[in-house]
Amino acid sequence: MGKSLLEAAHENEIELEGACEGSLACSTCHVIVEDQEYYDKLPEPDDDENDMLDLAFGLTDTSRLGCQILASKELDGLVVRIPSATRNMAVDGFRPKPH
Amino acid sequence: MRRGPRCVQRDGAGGRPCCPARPTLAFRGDGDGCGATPLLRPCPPLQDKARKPDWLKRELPGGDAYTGIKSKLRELKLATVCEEAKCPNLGECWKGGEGHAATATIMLMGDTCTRGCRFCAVKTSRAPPPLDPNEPENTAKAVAAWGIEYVVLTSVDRDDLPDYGAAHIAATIRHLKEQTAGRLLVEALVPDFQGRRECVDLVARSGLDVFAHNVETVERLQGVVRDRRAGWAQSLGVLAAAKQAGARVTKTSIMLGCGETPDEVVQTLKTLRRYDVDVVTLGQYMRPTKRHMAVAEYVTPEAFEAYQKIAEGMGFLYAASGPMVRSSYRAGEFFLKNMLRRQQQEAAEQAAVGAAA
Repeated sequence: MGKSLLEAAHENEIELEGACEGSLACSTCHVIVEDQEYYDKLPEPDDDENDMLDLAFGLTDTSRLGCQILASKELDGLVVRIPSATRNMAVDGFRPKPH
Repeated sequence: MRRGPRCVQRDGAGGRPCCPARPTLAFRGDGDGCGATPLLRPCPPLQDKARKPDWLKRELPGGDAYTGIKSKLRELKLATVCEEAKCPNLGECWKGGEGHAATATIMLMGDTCTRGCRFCAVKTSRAPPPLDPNEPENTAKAVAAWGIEYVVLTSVDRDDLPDYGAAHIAATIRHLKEQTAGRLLVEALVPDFQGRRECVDLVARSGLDVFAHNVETVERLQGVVRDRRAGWAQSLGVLAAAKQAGARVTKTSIMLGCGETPDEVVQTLKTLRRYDVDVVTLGQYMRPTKRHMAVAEYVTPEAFEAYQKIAEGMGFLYAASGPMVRSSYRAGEFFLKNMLRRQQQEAAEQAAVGAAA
């Protein structure tokens, strides 16, 4: 209870980056909430979170930062999707030639 | 959020859970054939895309010089980026010996940064603790007492401060010079001060010997690798401004293995030279923790050597290039050696001109 999704992901070895450790200084823990219903249950993101979300790769209408989603009874069954690439890295299967 | 739902990984045939017993959040993939995203590896535990090669060996810290430095640093209450960022060379640099003095890079303004770059293990916070006004003087006294001949200063970013910490850094440099009667060589690896010219000038004119600021990666990957407040043009601007303000030597570093191409690296070197940057270092990006960016590629020692030759051919004062090289790796030794070489070259040229006259 009260744990952030980012923390829970790390504890379960899900590869969700959290470069700034949940201090709203990056968008590497960007997740997409699958269900509109669950998205609506979450408290509104504040300006600081929105600033970071704006820069996230693959932003959607139900995007949130994983570090800002806190566990609660209401959210039981929440399903989120991790965007298939963070900004620019290996998009559409592109692999740079080795040096 | 209940723990316990199984991880859901769909195959092309449309749905077959993998590892039903494994407690994890329910994630669905959305790309890549098997249905799982490149970021998801439910089993086995997550690994880098590339395997860490043998040439990235790491000597465990130890020995008298190392423990001596460690206790001295604690006694003097100095923080090193070596420890904070988990540098792999810590054991080697601190040990010293073999003709070069031990080097440590002192970190100013605390151990907590206002930015969250994807490659960096330093702690992040929107509001780190306030600066210690005595730090410049105390650091100078401590380093002077330490007796080294070359010190590298670096700092976290402090976007929470009105001058981003520029005055604090400049004061530290001035104190260091005063406390050692100018004998100590000072290299400062500084933030971008959000591109503010007055801040750059303040530091560039503080008496330091080497003004360093890292571009970190090629232009295309700036937004991917660094915090959003950092940028290519801004960092180049800082390096150029420092030169214009009178810094004798400017220096920068880039990490390889973040997804850049060889052409981009060469282009980067060309651009840096155009901005009159004197020193460049290239090193392999190594992922500090699982919470950080994955390594895209482990660049071979041969490729690093090739870049070294290319950079030297472009006229840099020197280039340090190798998998384990970091910005301040053996900085004192290389600086002294190459400055001496440059002075000798210039003296030789002078003599030739004189003889021809």
